Amino acid sequence: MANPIYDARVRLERYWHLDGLAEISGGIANILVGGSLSASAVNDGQSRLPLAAAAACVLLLLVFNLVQQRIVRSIRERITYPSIGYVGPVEGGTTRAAGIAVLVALASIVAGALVFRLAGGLRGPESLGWLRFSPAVLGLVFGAVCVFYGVRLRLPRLLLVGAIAILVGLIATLTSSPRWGLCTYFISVGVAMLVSGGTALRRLVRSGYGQRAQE
Amino acid sequence: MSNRLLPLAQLDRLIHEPARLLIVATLSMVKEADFLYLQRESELTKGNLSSHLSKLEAAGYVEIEKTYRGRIPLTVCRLTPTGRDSFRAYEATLKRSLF
Repeated sequence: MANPIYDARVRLERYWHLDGLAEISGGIANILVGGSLSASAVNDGQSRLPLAAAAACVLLLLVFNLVQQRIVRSIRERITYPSIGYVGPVEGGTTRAAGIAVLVALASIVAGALVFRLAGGLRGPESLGWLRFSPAVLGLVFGAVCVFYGVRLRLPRLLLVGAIAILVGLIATLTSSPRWGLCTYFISVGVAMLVSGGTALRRLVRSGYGQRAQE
Repeated sequence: MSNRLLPLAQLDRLIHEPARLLIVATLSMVKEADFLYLQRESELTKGNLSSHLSKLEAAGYVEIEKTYRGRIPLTVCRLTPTGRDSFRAYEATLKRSLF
């Protein structure tokens, strides 16, 4: 028999994922990273436009990181709290710190890739060997995390996102050039997260929104 | 040999009532939660939940605040330090005596 206290803790963790806003935020961040890598990948050295686009994506990612907490709070006030109730944020700010760490790590990867590119890296196909397996590795790690949380929180949509991340990572590694593999991975996973989070939010809006007002 | 079950007689009766135990246990895991969340978690009726919360508030175990998050009115409930200590003591007594 499951420990009821453990079960209650899982239900509380589940609460934070019911509105899908965490996935929507993650999806947007992934798409911006993918956009930045794509813009960098099409750079042929002739025009500065792709690099400007890549830098704009990094800048957008940083701005998004700064404003996303405020946007999420605002949406929660309008949709989540009237539908499924309000729970005060867990003290200690571990979740926020983890979110910031992930975004800083993503921004660092993109900034590092840009610097590497500007410094003349990725010229020949042989120099891309170390990048070849990165979509598969990223897909497996992220997919495993999604599957773990999907099972723990009993949220099938996280299992689906995890499976997509693993599949896209493997397919991107096997079929795309190293340069485009990461772009494909980040954009596909970002879209999957956006759709998954959007579906959850839509379901929440349709099922419970206005419940408080009617009572 | 001492009777390990004896402390059960001194259990806090205010917390021991099943519905209130459910409310206090739920609140013990969060900083604060609103009426709707507690209602969903406990599956109690509004009147029942309200009555139990009033009893817990009168005993100084729970603090109830009517506030707003944006434009949404919320009835936010949180355990007071006394309530938290009492729940911990209750939990410890149960664990010592039964497990």
